Formats: sequence, structure tokens, C-alpha cells
Amino acid sequence: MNNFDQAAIEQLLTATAAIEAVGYAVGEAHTSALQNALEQVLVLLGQPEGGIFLYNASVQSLKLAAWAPQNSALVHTSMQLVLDRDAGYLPVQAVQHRTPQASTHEPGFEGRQATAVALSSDARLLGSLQVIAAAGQRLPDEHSWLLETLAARIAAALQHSWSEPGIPRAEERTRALVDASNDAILMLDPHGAATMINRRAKYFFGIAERDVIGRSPAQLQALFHRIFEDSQAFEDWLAPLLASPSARAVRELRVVRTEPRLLQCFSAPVLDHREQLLGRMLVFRDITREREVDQMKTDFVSIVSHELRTPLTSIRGALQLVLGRPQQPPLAERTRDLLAISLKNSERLIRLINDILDVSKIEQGSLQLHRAIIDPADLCRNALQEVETIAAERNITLQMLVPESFPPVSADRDRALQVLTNLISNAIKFSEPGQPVEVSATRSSRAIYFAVRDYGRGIAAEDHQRIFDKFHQLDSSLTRQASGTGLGLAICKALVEEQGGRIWVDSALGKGATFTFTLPLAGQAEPPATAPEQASQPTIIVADSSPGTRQKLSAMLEQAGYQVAEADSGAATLKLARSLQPALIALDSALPDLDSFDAAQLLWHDPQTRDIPVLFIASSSDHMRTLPPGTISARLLTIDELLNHVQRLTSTIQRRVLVMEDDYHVRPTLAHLLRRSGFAVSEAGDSRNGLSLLEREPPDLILLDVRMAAGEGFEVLRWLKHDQRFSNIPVVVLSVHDVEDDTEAHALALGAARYLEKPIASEELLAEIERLFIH
Amino acid sequence: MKILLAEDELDIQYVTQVALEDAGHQVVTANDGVVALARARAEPFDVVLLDVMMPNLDGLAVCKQIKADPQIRTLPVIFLSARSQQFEVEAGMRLGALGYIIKPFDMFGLSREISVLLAHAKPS
Repeated sequence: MNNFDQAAIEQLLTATAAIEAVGYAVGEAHTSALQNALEQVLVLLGQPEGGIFLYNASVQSLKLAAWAPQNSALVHTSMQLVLDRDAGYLPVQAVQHRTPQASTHEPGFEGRQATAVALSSDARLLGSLQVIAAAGQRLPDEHSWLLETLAARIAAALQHSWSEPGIPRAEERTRALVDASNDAILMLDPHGAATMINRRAKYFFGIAERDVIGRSPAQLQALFHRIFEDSQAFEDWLAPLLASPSARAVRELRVVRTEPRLLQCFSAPVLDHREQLLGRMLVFRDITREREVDQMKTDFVSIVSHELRTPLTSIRGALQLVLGRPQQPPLAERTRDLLAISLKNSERLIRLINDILDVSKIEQGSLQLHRAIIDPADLCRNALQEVETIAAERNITLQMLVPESFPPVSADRDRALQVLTNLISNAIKFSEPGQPVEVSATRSSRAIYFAVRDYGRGIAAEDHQRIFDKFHQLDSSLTRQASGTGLGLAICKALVEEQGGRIWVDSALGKGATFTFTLPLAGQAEPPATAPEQASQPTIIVADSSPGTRQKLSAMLEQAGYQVAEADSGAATLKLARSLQPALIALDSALPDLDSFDAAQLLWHDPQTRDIPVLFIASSSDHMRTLPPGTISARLLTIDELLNHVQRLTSTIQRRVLVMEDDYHVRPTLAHLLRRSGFAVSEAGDSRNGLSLLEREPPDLILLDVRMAAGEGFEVLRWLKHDQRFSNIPVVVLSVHDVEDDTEAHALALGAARYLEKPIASEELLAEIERLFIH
Repeated sequence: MKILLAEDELDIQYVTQVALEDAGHQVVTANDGVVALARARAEPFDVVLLDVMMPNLDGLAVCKQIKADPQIRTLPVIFLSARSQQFEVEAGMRLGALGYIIKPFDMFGLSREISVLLAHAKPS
């Protein structure tokens, strides 16, 4: 080996590696690996054109699976070569004779030398490899052995990827992976039938594969009933998720089988590489132990703090009595000082225990707030009284700048006082003697801003967030000197946020600090976590350029009991929408600065306003363009209809619509449109699902496609109208237009309330539904 | 005022007794729930202070029995306890107690707090 060609050897290695890769690739990767192998082989052999054919035994043909160059004439001449028919082609001849074949008469490549070699492994025929030389060139003789060697390699790789432990091996690997999971995994198809269950799930629920795979949704329901403590809750949670191609959800569920456990169920859609919905994955994680540990931690904190409070009661009580009443004979000064230190520190210990208990309650979510109507000035006065003594001790002047005229806030009095007192005592602790501490309040339309200002050492910007963390100490010696617990601000933050406010600090080193927190004004919509029902009537923004229309609409809505805010421009509407978070926006078509379409788009794209329904008030139909989902046209509505719209859109009691439609594209669109318009929607892709949803929770309206597969649509309609429980529910029948028949007459004769032909304009559909609800 | 103080923790019992006597009250002590209940039945008191966690019969059970006994049903009950969780306080108040004072309490404030609670009590 003295004059080997390094470049040639490198190319040989590249080609063999490319061939080898074919043996391990699956699916699409397999096709591209094969293409790559062919290209590398052609480069190695110095040939411009060629193809790899794969043999299909069932139709006795060779199919072109890879070719080069991309525009090769092979695509036209040799895409599919049938062995009997196409004996004139070299790849076929090579396969038939199992020896390399060469000629210059290959159809489509006349005059060029073409060579073909069979691809076979262990006498099993796999395909054929063909190379075509450039015009006037030929494959050098010394390369024909190389061609055969490479063909053998390709065949071996194909054999590896295909035959017994090939693709099944990849599947097996995936299966093994899923089975190895410590979480239970169940996959359902969009109709709710189980398609896969892993080993852990079988163990968790004590079931076999045959108990779920191939069972009907009804059988699965029966099984769920035995497994889940509340299987209805599980199904109600799952039902709307099944057909969703995007929704992800998490929920905790208790199971009783095989043993009581608390499971956290995560659900996500499963999509194939073409984004088609294959079904839904449910992953169950056992969090029983986790919860027990959490509970133990909570119990531990509670018990320990109780155990600590008992001796502290005696210690502090005894010290208070000794120091607080006249002693005969009087205590020596030094004794008195030492006892005072004991008392001060026992008090600090008590504060620490109380703080730890507070944190524990907050973390556990068991903090209970007792909201009351509180006067801001009162609150500040009370807080200042609490800290008077320590302020006087440190020679700090307290100043209060709170107007008496401010409206009351809605808060838990003790907790609000705790926050304010804590902030003021911090300010006092971190001030130099002689400096003032100011407590002030300002207001916005929704909240009172309480601010505590000191002129002490200040806090660096990078610490502005961290100081609200638990046990975060900017300077631990300082914290100790100031006898803090390191929990105060974390508790303040949690308490403020729990009451629907915010807290933050403005400060710089050497410039003092201002801590500000907000509490919502009484009568404002309260955060849903603490107050599910709104105290006041919903607010509606009326946006219209014409003062006359605005006044008319406002008066009407106010009379109907709504709070109304008016806007005369798009900009004002957007601003109001963000700050008021109204229950509805009634939007005119012709605002001076933005047309309503753009305004609706802007509202839709802002996460803060996205969920606010928009009622679109247009005067003429030609203005209607494609509006964002959820906007509703009210152009032809009467006042009653308008109020009905408004009531539905702002109501917390939703009307339920059942959509029975087997078309995968139409159903989600309809459902989305209806949901955005304020309806609660359940969906069924076939009559069986539809009827079971119906039995479970009768809707207020049914949308029924009578042209559902299997011709069941009319059957469903007939059945509905004959069952007394459902015969009063209006049914809107949907159908594609069909010249030949009398679907409409048929549907109406069977009792349908409306007949609509697809494609249906969304406004038309909503208007029809609206009319049905009014009458 | 004549006060029955039921507290098994003797240090707390003593300190509390001193504080109340300093404030001018007459204090009778009991070391557990059974003794407390017997005392309450044997002589009249203006108010009974009950620790919650006591041996033999806990404070909640004592309160329940007082409220179920026609003879002493009107005797005002105030709990003294280190158990400060909301549900624990509520459990005590549901039994008909007049108040629930959380330990550690202010020794000088105790007498005042008892007076306030009694003054606000609805005549029954």
C-alpha cells in the first residue's frame, strides 16, 4: 500500500457509512438514508446517474425508491418495473438472472452505458441497483467488482432495516420505553376508544390490555367507574379534551382501584408528523406519597409551633409580671436589664413562630381572609398606633399623608394591618435616628395605593425582587440587629396578592426606600379565587362615534342593570378595556381613528383583552369582513335581541349547545365559534357519542348534521322528537345542499326548528340561534 | 370576679393565676378537665377559662358538657390555647364559647380581654 489514493479511500468510507445508515433508519429517515447512500455510491464510482429499486414480492415489481440526479429520466422510464412486462429493462434482467447486466440500449438512455446489479441478501431478493455512465463514457472494468460489493452492502442494510428485527425493532423499542415509564400511560383515539396502555397503567388499575383495547367507550366508562372515585368528574373533564388538537390539561384524581391513590393526570393531544390528531395521551402520576409528605410537613409545623408556644406562654408571662408590676424591694438595675433582654427575645421568638405558621398557611393555601369594608385612613392610623412605641424609642418621626375622603377598600382588616405595620416597622428599623418615615395613600379608579417611605440606606436594584423571597436577608447581621425574621416581606407579598393587590419597592442605595402596595376599592370586581360571585353588575363598554347612539345604548343597558363606560374612539376603547376588564364591549363599525375590524383585531391580539366578548354593531352589511372569532354582529337585531345577546355574553350561567357533526373540520370550527360567543359546547362526532352526552346533560340547543356518516342523522332527529325528555330541545339541522332531494322539508317535518345549508356564515348561524332562544 | 382556671401546664397556670389575682380577681384552679367540670358544678363562677389540650377530659369536651348541663349552661366559657389554626378556633367557638384566646397571650391584657368578652356577651 504505497501509493493509495487518500481521497478515494475517504469517499469509500463515506459511501459505506451512508449504506450502513440505511440499516438503522425507519420511516421517512429510511427514504432519505437510501437516497444519500445512492448519491455517495455514484460519487465513489464516478458515475453521473443511477437509481435504487425496491422489490415488491406481492406485485412482482421493482419500484424506484431513490434516484440521482433529481431530474433523472429514470422517474419517467422506470418508476415501476413489472418483472413480467418490463423484461427489456436492465434492473429487471439483473434481478431475473441474478448477475450484473450491462447494455447501451436501456430505454430512455440509448447510447449510454447502463449497468444493473440485483440487491439480494441470503438469497432473498430485495431490489436492484442501476448506474448509468455519461455519454461516451463507460464504467471502468475494475469498478464492476466494486459495484457488486456495494450492492451486497446495500442489500445487507436493507435486510437489516426491513426483515424481522428491523422496523418492528424500532416499534418494540418505543413500546419498551413507554412500558418502562414509572407513570401510567393510556392513549385514547378522538372518539374515546383506547389504543394503547402501558405496563404501569395495567398495574395501577389492576387491568389487562384486553380490558381496554378494542372496548367500546361505554365499556371503558364502566371500567373507569370501577377505577375512579368520581368517574363522572373524570369523564366530564376528559370529554371536551378528546377532540381538541391542542388542549393540554392537568387534574388530580382519586382512584379506588387497585388501591386508593391520588393521581395527577396530565393530558395532551397526540399528533402525527402531518399534524393529524391521532388521539389523546393520559399520563397518570402517583402523588399519594408526595401529598402525605406535604401534609406531614404541615402537621409538623403546626405541632412544633404549638409545642413552642406553650413554654413561651409561661416564660413571657412570668417576665411580664416581674417587670410590669412594682417589686418590693425594687429590682436592681442590672437584674432589670437582663430580664428585659429575656422578655424582648421571647417576644421575638413568638413573632418568628407566628411568621412561620403564616408561611405554612400560605403555602398550604389554607389562609382564610375575612373581607370587610375598610377606611384607608383608619387603617393607616391603626398601623401607626401599633408602631408608635418603637418609633419613639428610635427617635423616628412618623408622618401620615392620607386623605380622609378616600373611598373604602375591600380587605381583611387584620391582614391588611399586618402588612402595613410590618412595612412601617421595617422602615423604622432601617432609618437613622431623627429621620422621618412617611405613610401616604393615593388612589386610582380601582385601588388605593399605600406607600411607606423611609430615608435609610436604601436597597440596590438587583435586590428589589429578592427581598420578597422567604428568608432572604440582604445583610443578615443587619436583619438580626433589627430583630427581623426574614419572613416579613414574603408574608406581606402573599397577603397582598391574596387580597387582589400588588406590592413592590422603589429604592436605590443611599436614597431610602418606598414600599407600595395596593388594595382593591370596595365594590370592585374581586379576584375570582376569593370571591366567585361578582358583587356588582357587569360593566359594558359602549364604543360608538356618535354621541346619540352612545347615549341611547348606554341608557338602555343601564336600565337593564349594567354599568356602562362610554368610549368615542378606538384608542379609548382599548385603554378602557385594559383597565376596566369589562364583561362585554359593544363596538360600533365606524370609529374615527380605527375601523371596528382593526379595533376587534387589536383587542383579540392583546392577552389582557382577548377574552372579552365583542358585540359588533354594524349599520350596513357590506362592511362585514372576516372578524376575529367571538365577535358577533348585531346589525339586524331588535332591542330585545340585543339585550338577550348582552345578557348571554355577560352571564355566568351559560347556555349549552350540543354539536353533532361528523366532519372533523366543521365540528371544531362550529364549537369554537359558539364557545367564543359565550355558549358551553359539547361535541359529538357520531350519534352514539351524541346521545350519551345528551343523556348526561341535556343541552339547551342541538346542532345536528343530518348527513352524518351511516345515514343516522334523521334517525337521531326522529328519536329526539319522540323522547319526552328531549322533545322540547330545539334542533337546528345542518346539511349540505342537494338538488335532488327534499332534506329541508323532511327535517322540518320531523320537528327540526331550523334548517341551515352548509356552508353557513357564522353571523347567520348565531343570529338563528339567538332567535331560537328569544322565542 | 370569680374565675375558674383549667390548665394542666402548671407554669402557665401559676403565671396566669398571679396575673389575674394582681388584677383583683379570685381564681380557682383545676389541673384537668374532669376536675374543672366537677368544680364548675360544685360552685358558681363568673367565667371559666379552659385550656384545650388537657388530660382526662379536654377543654372542648368540658365546654360541651357545660353547655349540655341545664344547671351551668349559662356559665361563660373562654378557651385559652396555643392551637391557633382557623379550624381549631372555629371548632371551639362552635361549641358555644364566648371567646378563644391564643397563647402566648399578654398577661396584663388578659383580664381586660375577659372583661370585654363578658361585656359583649349576649344576655342569655
